[in-house]
Amino acid sequence: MKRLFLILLTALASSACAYGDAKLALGYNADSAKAGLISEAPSATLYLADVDDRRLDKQRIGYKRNGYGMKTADILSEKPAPEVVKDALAVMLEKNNHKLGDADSRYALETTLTNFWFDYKAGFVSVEFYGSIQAELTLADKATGENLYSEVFDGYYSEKTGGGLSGTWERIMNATLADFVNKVNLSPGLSEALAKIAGEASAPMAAAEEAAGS
Amino acid sequence: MIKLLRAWGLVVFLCAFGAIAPAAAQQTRSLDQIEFKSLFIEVSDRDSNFTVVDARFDETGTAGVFFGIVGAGLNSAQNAAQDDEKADTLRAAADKIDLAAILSEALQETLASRGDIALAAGRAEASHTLLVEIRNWGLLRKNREDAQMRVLLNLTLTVVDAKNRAVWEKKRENAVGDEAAPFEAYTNEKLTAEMEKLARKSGQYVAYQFIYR
Repeated sequence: MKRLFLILLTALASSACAYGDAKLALGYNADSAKAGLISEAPSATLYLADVDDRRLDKQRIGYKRNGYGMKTADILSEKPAPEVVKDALAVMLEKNNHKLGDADSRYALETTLTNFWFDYKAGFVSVEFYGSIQAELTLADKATGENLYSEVFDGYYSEKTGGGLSGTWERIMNATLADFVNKVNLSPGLSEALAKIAGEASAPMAAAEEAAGS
Repeated sequence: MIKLLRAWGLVVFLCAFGAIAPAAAQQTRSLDQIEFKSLFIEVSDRDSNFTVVDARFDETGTAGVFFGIVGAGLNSAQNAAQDDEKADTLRAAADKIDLAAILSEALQETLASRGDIALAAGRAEASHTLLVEIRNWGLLRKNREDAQMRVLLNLTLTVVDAKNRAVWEKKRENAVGDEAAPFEAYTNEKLTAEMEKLARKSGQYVAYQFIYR
């Protein structure tokens, strides 16, 4: 009887967490960041604009689900997802020897976030966890208003394990973020666009606007 | 027997309410831990599937297929039929696109241009083989609110050693096109041009993952 009581108590304590929101500490690991293809472009100075959040669901990054797939609570990011993405891009640009300029810089890297999501599917003996991040990056010339380069990047990571709680979820989403950043890091198109602007990147805005107008 | 039933009851209860015990993650090596002496590239489209995802976009089961977002939703037969009908209008053109050849060429050209990893002529001569499997590809709705379509290419990458043991794997390597247009704008020529562009881009990206490993 005592054993049955303990089992029920454990089960009740464990199930309580399925109904509370989970907050994940997400971020790109600067120590593991590597220089990639965009490091081949000469150093450019860019204003990294705030991320334009166009996600369909801005409130959460996933749902907790029970064994039957029913939603039981929200999975949230401690830091808002757009900030997580912006911070990761800042680390990646600096790792590749590019400089982050202020709002007066001629060139800006603009990000439109369309997806930042975690989910999982429980099987009989294992659980498959998934993360997905999608965003469009645009390199813009603020002096001319021209978009110099644009590309959609899709970060993804999945892992099948015996199970896992918030620590595993954080690892999955951070691996997804690393995949997203790595795709930006290895973009031949972005690398070429950065190479083109590198020579002019330090030109003051006013002079550039004058040149564009003449 | 009673003990067994109690234990089973607990497992069912915990699974039902989401308390699943942590377990060791599946371990594979990262690319920088693999000593490539020579690499053979094999691109396969045997299990590829040309598809249009428009009406099914909102269904979580479909999103799971393409972006790994899996929920309880299932594709309705009606939505699947609508998407199949759209795919059928482009299927003849899709059948003529040799994605495997384009991807393979872009991948090998990019690797060869850097000379970082020697390319082998066959599996027998290679220390490792990179298997690139083309999975779902075609047209994918931009999002729930925007009915414009983008090209999509979904790959599975596996590196096997000389003894055919998988040492690295990446599932659902997704790439989407940068341009979006209404489905009606996708003529045979537009689909072919954009898919070929995406296949080249994906081939280059896979190669750069090995170069900058």
